[in-house]
Amino acid sequence: MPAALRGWLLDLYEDAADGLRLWIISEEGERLCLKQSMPITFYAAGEAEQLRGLWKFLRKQPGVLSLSRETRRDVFLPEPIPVLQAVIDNPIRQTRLFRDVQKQFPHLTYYDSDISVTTRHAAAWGTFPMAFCEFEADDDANLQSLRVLNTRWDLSPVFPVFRTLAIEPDCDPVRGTPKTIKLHFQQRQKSLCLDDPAELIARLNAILDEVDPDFILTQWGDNWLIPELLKLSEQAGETLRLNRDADRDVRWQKELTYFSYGQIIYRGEEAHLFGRCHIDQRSAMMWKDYGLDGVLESARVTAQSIERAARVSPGSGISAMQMLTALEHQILVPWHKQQVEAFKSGMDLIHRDRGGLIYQPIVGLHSDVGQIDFISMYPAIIIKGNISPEVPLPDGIIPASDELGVVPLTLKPLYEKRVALKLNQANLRKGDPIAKRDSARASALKWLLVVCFGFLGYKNARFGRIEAHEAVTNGGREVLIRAKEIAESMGFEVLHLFVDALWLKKPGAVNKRDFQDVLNEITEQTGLGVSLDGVYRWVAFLPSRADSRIPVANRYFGVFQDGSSKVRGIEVRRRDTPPWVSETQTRMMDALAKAYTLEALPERLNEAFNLFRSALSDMREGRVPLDKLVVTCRITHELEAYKSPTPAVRAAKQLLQQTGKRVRPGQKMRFIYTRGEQGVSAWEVTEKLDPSRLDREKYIELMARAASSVLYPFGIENEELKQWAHSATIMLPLKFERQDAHVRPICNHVRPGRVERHAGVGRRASRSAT
Amino acid sequence: MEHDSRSELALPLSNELLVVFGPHAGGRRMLDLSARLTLRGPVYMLDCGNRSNMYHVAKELRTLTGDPVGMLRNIRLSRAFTCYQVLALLEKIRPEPGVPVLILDLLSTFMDESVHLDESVMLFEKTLACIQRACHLVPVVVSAKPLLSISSPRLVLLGMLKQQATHIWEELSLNPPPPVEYQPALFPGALLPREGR
Repeated sequence: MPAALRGWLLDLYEDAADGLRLWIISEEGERLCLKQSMPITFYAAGEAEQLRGLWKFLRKQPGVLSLSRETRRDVFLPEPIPVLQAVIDNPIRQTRLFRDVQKQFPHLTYYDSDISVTTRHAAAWGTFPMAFCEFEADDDANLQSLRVLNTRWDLSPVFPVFRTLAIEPDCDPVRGTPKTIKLHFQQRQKSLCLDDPAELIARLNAILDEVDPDFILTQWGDNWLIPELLKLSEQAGETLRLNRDADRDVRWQKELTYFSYGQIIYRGEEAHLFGRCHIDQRSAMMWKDYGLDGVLESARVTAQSIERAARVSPGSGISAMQMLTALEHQILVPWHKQQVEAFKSGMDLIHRDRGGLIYQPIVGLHSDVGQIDFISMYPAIIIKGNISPEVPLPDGIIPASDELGVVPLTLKPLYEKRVALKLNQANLRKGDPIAKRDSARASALKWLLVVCFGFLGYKNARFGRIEAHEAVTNGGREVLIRAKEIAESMGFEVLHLFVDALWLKKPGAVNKRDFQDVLNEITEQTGLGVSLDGVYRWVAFLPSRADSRIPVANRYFGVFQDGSSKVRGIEVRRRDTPPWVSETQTRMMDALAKAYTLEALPERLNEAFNLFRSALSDMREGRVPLDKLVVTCRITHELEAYKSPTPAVRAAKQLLQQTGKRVRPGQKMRFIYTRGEQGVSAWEVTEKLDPSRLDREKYIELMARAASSVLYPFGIENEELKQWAHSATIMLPLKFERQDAHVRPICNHVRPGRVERHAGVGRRASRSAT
Repeated sequence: MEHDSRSELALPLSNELLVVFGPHAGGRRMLDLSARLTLRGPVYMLDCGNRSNMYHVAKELRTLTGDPVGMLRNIRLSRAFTCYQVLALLEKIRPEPGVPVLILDLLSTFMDESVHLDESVMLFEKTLACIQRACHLVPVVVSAKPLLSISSPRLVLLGMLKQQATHIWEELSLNPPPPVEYQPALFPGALLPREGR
């Protein structure tokens, strides 16, 4: 090994003997493992007698390098506090020792005791996944020096050429029994049969040796593929060499069900590798949204390992970043947050504990509308207002303290990087591969920024504080009100306000420059960045389904001047909508999107309606593939806990009875609506469903509901459409002979009353049956 | 320990521990009770399950007094979101004679699956000790809800709480949902478009 080498840091992890093992991809393309000793420091605070007891206990323990009395800063206390500092020789020993310590001394307060080794390494050495570094090592691969040559905040990081091996079974293992596995590597494709374990494992090992992948990307890897391959390897009596580190077995992270934001979430078992990364694309967080580029970016800025960054929520990423900031600034990271909310009166709570500001929309169809968004409003308010648990909180967004707190210190570079990436993107042509990559990276950063506000109020956030959370929404409301007043003073009508967005209307405002002055003015007066999301050719705000007199925030669809559409709050956005319904609804909106102006909409109405009618015909004549009818819902309790089982629960019980597979709380259940007592058929056991069993009426109802969201602005009521769809009078089509009659009343009266709309519908209804 | 099944919670007057057990941790009843208590003076409200809906208290107060705002100021509220915070809050509170303590949804944070059961039990024992100390000085009302199936290993905590109670007020069945309330229209029957705001 050369005395000095340059390369990228792929992976690092604890080792009982070596301290740390670091895997490097050198500039020459070699994959190397280096060793580094890594002493770990943690702190304890509390009563002197108990600290003395801890000191005596630790003194006798092996691996304790030093014990000393120090003074450190607890972020929630006004003055630095005296602490016992313990330095342990090895991360694995520290974890074990701390387990004993906290059991024996439960009354002490602990700091820096459970921080991951990647975060500690990042704080000590400035490293992060795929950091480009200069290493010096001795002949035994012991690291002698380490210098990081780039930063987490580089806009255009350079990566080595990665080696990737993709593995997937030939079918969904939940629905069938895979016979082969397909492998993709080095632009080659191979299929390996699962029948003969010995041959399979031998061939797989040969491929692993030949490719020596940095990434193993799988489908169903965590819960089926890797467990199955390990089982077959055991049968064959030959080790499967999934790890690059030959001393290690696959590390299994246990399955977990937990509460998050009022939902029960299930995280399946995870297979982690050493020296290379395994990413199961089906269990990776946000994989569909940003892929490997986004995962690498997320790992880079949060300094979490790549495998972890791929799987955990953005909240965990923010938490890791805050801990890193604290370590870098010699601030103690509490093991458990214990500070409590200061007492306040009932009136104080009413005044302070509010969410974002919402002005309900003006229901109906509108043109000459622009949508203005604050760029990452809440992160920007946290930074500008210096909102952090340990500093005085602002009333509004004028900071009450000059020294940046832990939270804004963490977010500032993240926010600035995202804004810079977005600006870069704007200068790239469509289809540029860099634009695609940067878009994925910006998306990863966006999710981190999105959750940072919620994380301030999250119960387990080490640097969270509910008052800081409230201060952010307070700032948001103030800024949005100010923006509204600015827009109105410049002659715009405000159609809708929603937390960080405004929909502004002005007759004749049809392109970007018509909104430039108001954008500039809002930026200048609020000090926060705003952008024009787009100018709509037309936009429809929809009312409540339960009562059409009541507008609903953030339920709309519209088409921008460039032809792209924007949809919120309707069926296509819901996860439990079957693909057949959401695809038809999308096609209907696409048909309407062809209208350049409000006046041109009636011409497109027939086309949209015909798509709906044709979808109904497909259903009645059995032309819809079953997989397009699958409904996916989450199970939130153990199956026995349900008193009135929902369709998803009935399907889960069916699955349990027929296959013995139990759906855990937080897991999703897929099913199809069928006729009969049960009313559902679990998708996993629906191999050959008799078409006559399909509950067509139920699907027709779902379709009518989705179509009515699209057709409502044209005067068509949900109930009416449902009746029409169910009446099986497909051969008697609804005709829009004088479409303008349906649209005009709404176009002319952007605040339509029920009477007017009904009059329109009534006229149409009387002409409809031919 | 006595079980009570009256439809409305009586004002706690003696220095005892009353446990209110039911769906939603007796949410509405506890808030109604807090509204009535504010008429007598200050009241501590320790919210351990995000149940301190002050709009509900204000609404209740409007039926009881002409000065709901003044009465809301009698509430001394603090929220805890983790079991560590619950304990820290109870250790911090200094009960004052004549100032009852309401603890909403006490068990909620102790159900956190990321805290080991042994640790939860240890923290809950300390929490109960704090509550017992407070009971010697002021009336304390604690509410709790039936546990979800995924929390069944922690049923022991509910048993510990009930064991400490002087009285238990138990809702045996689910309440019907509250009636939907509409804002009265100025012009009944008229369906007006939304004008200025």
